[in-house]
Amino acid sequence: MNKTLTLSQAVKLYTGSSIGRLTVTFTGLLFAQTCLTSLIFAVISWSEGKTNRISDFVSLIFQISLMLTHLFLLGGYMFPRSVPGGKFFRSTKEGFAGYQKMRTGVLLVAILILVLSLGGMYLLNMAVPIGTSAAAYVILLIVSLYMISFLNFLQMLPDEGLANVLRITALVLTGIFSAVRFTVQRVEWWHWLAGAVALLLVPLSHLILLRHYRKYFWNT
Amino acid sequence: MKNVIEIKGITKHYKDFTLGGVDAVIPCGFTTALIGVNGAGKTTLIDILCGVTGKSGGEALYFGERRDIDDPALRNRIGYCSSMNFFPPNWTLKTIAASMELGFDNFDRARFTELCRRFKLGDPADKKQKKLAKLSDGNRMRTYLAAVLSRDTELLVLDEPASSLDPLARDMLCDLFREYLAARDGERSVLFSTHNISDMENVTDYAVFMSHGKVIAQGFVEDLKQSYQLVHGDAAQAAKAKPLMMTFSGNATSFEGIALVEQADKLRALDTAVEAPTLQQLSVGLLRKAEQDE
Amino acid sequence: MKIYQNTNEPIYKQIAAQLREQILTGQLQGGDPLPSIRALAQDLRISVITTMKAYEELSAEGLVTATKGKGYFVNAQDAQLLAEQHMRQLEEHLTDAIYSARIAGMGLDEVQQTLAALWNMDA
Repeated sequence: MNKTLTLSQAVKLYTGSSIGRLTVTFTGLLFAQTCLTSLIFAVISWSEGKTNRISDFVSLIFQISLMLTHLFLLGGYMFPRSVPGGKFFRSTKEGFAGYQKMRTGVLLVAILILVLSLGGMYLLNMAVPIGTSAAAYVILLIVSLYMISFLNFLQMLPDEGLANVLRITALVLTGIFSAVRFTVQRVEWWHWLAGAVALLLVPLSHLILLRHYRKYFWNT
Repeated sequence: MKNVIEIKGITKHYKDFTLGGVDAVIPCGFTTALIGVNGAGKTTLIDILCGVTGKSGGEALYFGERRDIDDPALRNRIGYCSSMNFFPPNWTLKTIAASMELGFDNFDRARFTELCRRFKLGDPADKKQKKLAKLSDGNRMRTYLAAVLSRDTELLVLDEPASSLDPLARDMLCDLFREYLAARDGERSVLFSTHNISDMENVTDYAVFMSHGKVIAQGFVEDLKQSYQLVHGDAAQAAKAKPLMMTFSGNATSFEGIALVEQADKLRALDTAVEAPTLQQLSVGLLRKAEQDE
Repeated sequence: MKIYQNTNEPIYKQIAAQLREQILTGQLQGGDPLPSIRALAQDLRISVITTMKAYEELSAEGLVTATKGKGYFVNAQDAQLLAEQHMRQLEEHLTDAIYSARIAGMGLDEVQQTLAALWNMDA
């Protein structure tokens, strides 16, 4: 009887939900949130005759919702020993290996949500044109990937207060940046390069975070 | 006599507390009590033995062969449970069953359902589930026990299981230990920690006493009760008796304490009562002496 | 089996005494298995080390033998040995009776009368 946990099983052990369920739930919430608030805003703007603001708003609310989702997924799941459940998790058959798989699973959820929500927004955009370009979505994807790595690194900061300040700063910057970004019309070569780096940085930051966590948090 | 755990020189350094070096054996096929006051290091030692906390040094031998507590095969054989906050507070019987099944290879759902029924906790298959946070301390502890006893393990390690249980439940806990040991006659062992042994004396076979991070005495209960004697007498003999005794407490009318059996005859000659102590009396004596020596 | 928790007599001695009686009176025959130490501990609700010590005492007296992996079994008792054991017990009981008689101020005749009466009652 030597079964090792899959990523989804590890996530289920710690949270009670599988990777699939977490992805669907969060993506669904994200869309519901974005569509609902955008619809309300669109109705208000249309009635006021200022429809040129709608695309800005949609990009704003979408980006903030996405950022909040990533903040939640990549800022938590620490499970210190003192917190209820901490000792149980540490006594399971796979111990830290199980924790590692859980964190990797949650990271996967974050990336899946990113891809699905962007894809969904792009499709929605084609059906209901709100004046954003395909290039903008690519830029958004790349920036979000950097944000994921950034949040991973933030979890290693010993000063929890400073980490939270930086998280809020990132959220605010997201809001400010979003309205500007959606005007990009073409993807340049250096965008692709930045994207490649962002893609590499995600697993790298994840591995560094896990190594740090094991050394300073798991068994001390 | 086989040992289920051999502890050699285990140490752990914290900012304001040091454990160790701890040298002890836990005999196989019996119930061992780890006895000490709060802060003596019992939880730290148990956490280290079960892989919940890392150690600074030393080693432990399990089942006479394994050394690496991070080995999943070894972890499957050990049933560990802490006293409070073992599972997250928003978990229910259903989530506990699901996570236990994923966390270990030998979790038996049917047995869990049966134990939940026996402990009057409800049914893990019910539609409506109660969260752990809503249960009383006693029922929460019972839930943890149901979960850990639903696994087919060879060593049960419980950190202060009796603390949140009323006397009736403690009695039931003793029965559970005996049931656990009898089911695989001689192949299973129990280790539990406590700061108050009185309700658990009837089930304890072996005792390990801890004080200030170190083991101060250990042995089979019957042997300990022969090596140490309870002495009591009138105040008139106090002065003569005191130097012969290991621990001493007296007032204007009488005195009492623990003495080594070698002094028993001399003490009897002083017209004092000398008899075998209860494990509780012995604990108080040994731990008090350790406090005084510190 | 009856054990008294709160007397001065160690529980393992009580168990040994009762089992010894059962063996010497023939209630337990040679070859009969004793309950496992853990099963007995569970039934009497005491610690395993207590039952183990009781069995070890009986084993030291030659009344039972531990078989590896199978538990404790009663040894076949020598009939003459049994008789001697009973004789010794009789002498012990009679000594106690004489002591009580002396305290009560009874003479030898009175004691013999009481003995005869009890003997006939039983027959």
